[in-house]
Amino acid sequence: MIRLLGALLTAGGGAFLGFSAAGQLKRRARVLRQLAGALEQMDREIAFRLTPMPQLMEELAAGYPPPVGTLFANCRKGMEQLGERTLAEIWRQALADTELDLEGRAAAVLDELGEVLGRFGEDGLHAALVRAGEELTREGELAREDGEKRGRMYQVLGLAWGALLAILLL
Amino acid sequence: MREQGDVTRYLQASALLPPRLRRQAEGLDRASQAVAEELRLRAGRPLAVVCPRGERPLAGGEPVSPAELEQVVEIATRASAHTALERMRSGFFTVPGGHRIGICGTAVVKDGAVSNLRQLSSLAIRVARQVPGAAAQVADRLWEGAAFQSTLILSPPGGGKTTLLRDLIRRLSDGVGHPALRVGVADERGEVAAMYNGLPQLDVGGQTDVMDGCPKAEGLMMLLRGMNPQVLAADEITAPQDCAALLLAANCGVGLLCTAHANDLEDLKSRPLYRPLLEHRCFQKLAVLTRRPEGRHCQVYQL
Repeated sequence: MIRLLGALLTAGGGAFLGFSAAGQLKRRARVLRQLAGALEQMDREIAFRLTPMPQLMEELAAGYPPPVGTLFANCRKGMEQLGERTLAEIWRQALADTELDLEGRAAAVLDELGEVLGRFGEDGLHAALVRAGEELTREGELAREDGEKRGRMYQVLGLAWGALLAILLL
Repeated sequence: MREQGDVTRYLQASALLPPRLRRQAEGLDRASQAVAEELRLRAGRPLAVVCPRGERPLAGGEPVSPAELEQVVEIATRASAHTALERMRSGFFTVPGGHRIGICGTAVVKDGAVSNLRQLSSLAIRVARQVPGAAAQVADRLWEGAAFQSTLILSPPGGGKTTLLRDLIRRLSDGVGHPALRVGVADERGEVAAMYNGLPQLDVGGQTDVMDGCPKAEGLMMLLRGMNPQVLAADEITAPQDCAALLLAANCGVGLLCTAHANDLEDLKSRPLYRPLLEHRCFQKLAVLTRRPEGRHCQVYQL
């Protein structure tokens, strides 16, 4: 009975690891999609309402779930120190303080955006936001495809590995 | 008390600087802080302060870098340069407290018009100072009995026209010494009331309506149509459209209170732009400001 319970737990543990790895891939795709949406909203607000950056950060913080909303909330909080630090520094700090779990090109795009936010006129900012939004959408699409391929693989591997261990234990 | 207020305004303007330059500006002696008119930043040159006796660099400072110029704009606009761009295109923008930042750099021209400024080369932060009582010696002479007389204020640039205009508006609007009048101000450059978030940063009185950031001619007409003013005020009449709007307002029986760049009446008459206003007797009084060694002096003439 105890051996059966141990085998079930082992199989369940393996499956859990596989499903959690797959979930992480899905989460990355979702975060990238939300970030692209937030940048699009930022671009619209700047173009049509000339919304000041602090207000814009508040709106985005309220409009998106964590961790995307948290990024903008952290940036808004950091803006209290504007004058002591540049927005680029504040933005980078907010990126570092938020668990976006991004890497490679997507992380670089967000990092570079700090140099542009609040500094250029409408046209320059618009171009930078559109470019960043497109890159994040592309990265999001890649993450989604990756998630579908590797995610299923991780799930199967997790289940198989758990089952194999269980058989060995029995 | 007045000196304390002036120092506070200087420190408010210094707060627009990045930390290194701010420390330098705050190190200026108190007497100079109280009279400082401008902080001037030029890329590759040390930070300088403009006092009534002239411009001088602040001691012990490294040259200002282009990145620091960008940072001033970032601080002044609260990282929202896009909100001030329209005004930046005209060469300056106003920040909370009424301070004005003149901006200079490489212009980006699109469709024949300046669309943006990149690579900033210099900035001039003009410390906003209001002088309540600046018009005390003049105000009574602009009335004939119970009627305010339309007045044109003249002086060369930097002569104190805007300061006098602002204090006159405040007195008319608050009814200092005379019945209060509704005043409409077409504040195209944001220098008179320095509006920020709908609130005037400088005192223009309780019965004053301000149309800011809008071309003067349009602003004057909108005020005339919508706000039923008893007096219309505008700073620096410089375009034929402004004169046409003032002519129309004068014909509607509204009092006028305006400023223009000129040394005196003869100088004004020599400029074709102002002829229609003089010929149609839109103004009854002329206030001429002059700088003398003992200070600014204002002479009022009947037109």
